[in-house]
Amino acid sequence: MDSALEFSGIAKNYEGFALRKISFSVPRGYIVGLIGPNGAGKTTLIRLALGLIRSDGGAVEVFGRDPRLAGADIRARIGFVHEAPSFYDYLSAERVGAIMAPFYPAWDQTLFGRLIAEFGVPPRKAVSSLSRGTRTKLAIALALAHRAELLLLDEPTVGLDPVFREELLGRLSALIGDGFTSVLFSTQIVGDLERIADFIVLIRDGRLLFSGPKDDILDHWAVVRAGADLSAELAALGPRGLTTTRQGVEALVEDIDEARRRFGRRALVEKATLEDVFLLCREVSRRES
Amino acid sequence: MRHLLAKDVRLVAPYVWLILPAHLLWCVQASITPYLYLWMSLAAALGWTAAIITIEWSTEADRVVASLPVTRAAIVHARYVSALGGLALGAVLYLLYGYAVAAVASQAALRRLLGEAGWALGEGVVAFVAVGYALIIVFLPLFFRFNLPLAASLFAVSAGLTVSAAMALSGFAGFSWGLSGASSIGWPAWLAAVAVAVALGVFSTWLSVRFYESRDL
Repeated sequence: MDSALEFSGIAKNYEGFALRKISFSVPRGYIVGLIGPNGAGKTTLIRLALGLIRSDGGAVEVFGRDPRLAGADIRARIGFVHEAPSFYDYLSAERVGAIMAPFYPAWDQTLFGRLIAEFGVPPRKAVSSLSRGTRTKLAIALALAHRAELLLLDEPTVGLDPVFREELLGRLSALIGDGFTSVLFSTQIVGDLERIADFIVLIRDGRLLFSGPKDDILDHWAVVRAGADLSAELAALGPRGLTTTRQGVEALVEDIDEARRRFGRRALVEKATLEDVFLLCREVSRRES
Repeated sequence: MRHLLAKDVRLVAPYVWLILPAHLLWCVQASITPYLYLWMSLAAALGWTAAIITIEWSTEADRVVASLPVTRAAIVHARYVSALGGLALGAVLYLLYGYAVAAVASQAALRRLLGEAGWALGEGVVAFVAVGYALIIVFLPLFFRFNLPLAASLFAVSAGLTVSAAMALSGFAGFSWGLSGASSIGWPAWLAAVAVAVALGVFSTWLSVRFYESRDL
């Protein structure tokens, strides 16, 4: 599968935090959901993809090229929304758009005007007077207005009202319909991804815990809830996650059929949601570390 | 690079109207303490660059700019061109206001107010450009190597040393007085001075590009 973005064994060391040999890719024409708690390394990965920071090992390729070496060319094909959308706060949305427009050969001023109108971004008000959600909407409009082939969205739904979140997810789904646009969507709101993502990447504490098709999780993975007496038996199954609760134990396993066969009526076996994966894989990480 | 320069112009556009009245203030100040005209005009000219840098730092826009389809080298080059353009504009204003004052005041009044040295004349503008240029090529590598607060602190020390050295050449009365004999220097010496300045500028730019390309944003 042709990749728009590929991380191969990427490593980055900071004081007190390290990304450890992370590998995954964003195939062309697909949405990849990047999930993980605060401080997991999601923003670091997006900065690496934009060439804003250097890796300490491994490689990152955007459209087959190193973003730090071929930055200008490939960044024209990238739309980005940073974690805390920052602009020249004293300028209006209209002026911010006017500053950004000349940098992008494919900038569509009509589209930008239409997007900020549809998103309800006041064109002539200073950005500093806009709410966090509205600033994010502006950032999204800027990212979409130059018809990017790769969208790097770092927590784009934070601060957005549910109605706009729905709208944004719908737009992203429609965008990839051309088979040409790819999206890396970082978030902690896993419900967003359940609807639109094709692939899921889960990281925690700088480690890759899972990378694969979302449907694999939703179709095959299971959460097994059982009494504490089954803890050892569940652990022997090699679960993706195992945690102790007041009621007993919860385990995240990859094969729902096998879980049902082995535990039958002794445990409650349910299809896993992304929320389950997000929460329980955190436990695996803690246990491994 | 022209898009980056256009960005700088758009950023300060809301404040452009301040430039002319600010220089008028400098003129009034010059009538009281003439030697300050040079330094105040310099501060205004460099303020262009300082304002843009401060705006981008305070809004964390440097990360956004670096995410745009431009190379780090282009960002550095544009910053130098923008800073030197601001300095050139400042030099023009420095001359214009100086000559304007000279045009309306009697020579006796000028001598009384400004002393013998012609602060609006050629020597003055040479001093203006020389000091401004030195400050720019010292500050920008620091800026591209460190974040703004640290760069500004280091720059304050280095600028203090630069200005002190300039004043030591001419006394507190101002660098322009120290260069009052500049017009009597021959062409070879001028060319050599310009060549050295250009070489230092190229080195400063090269250093800034290296620093900025290796910096994490």
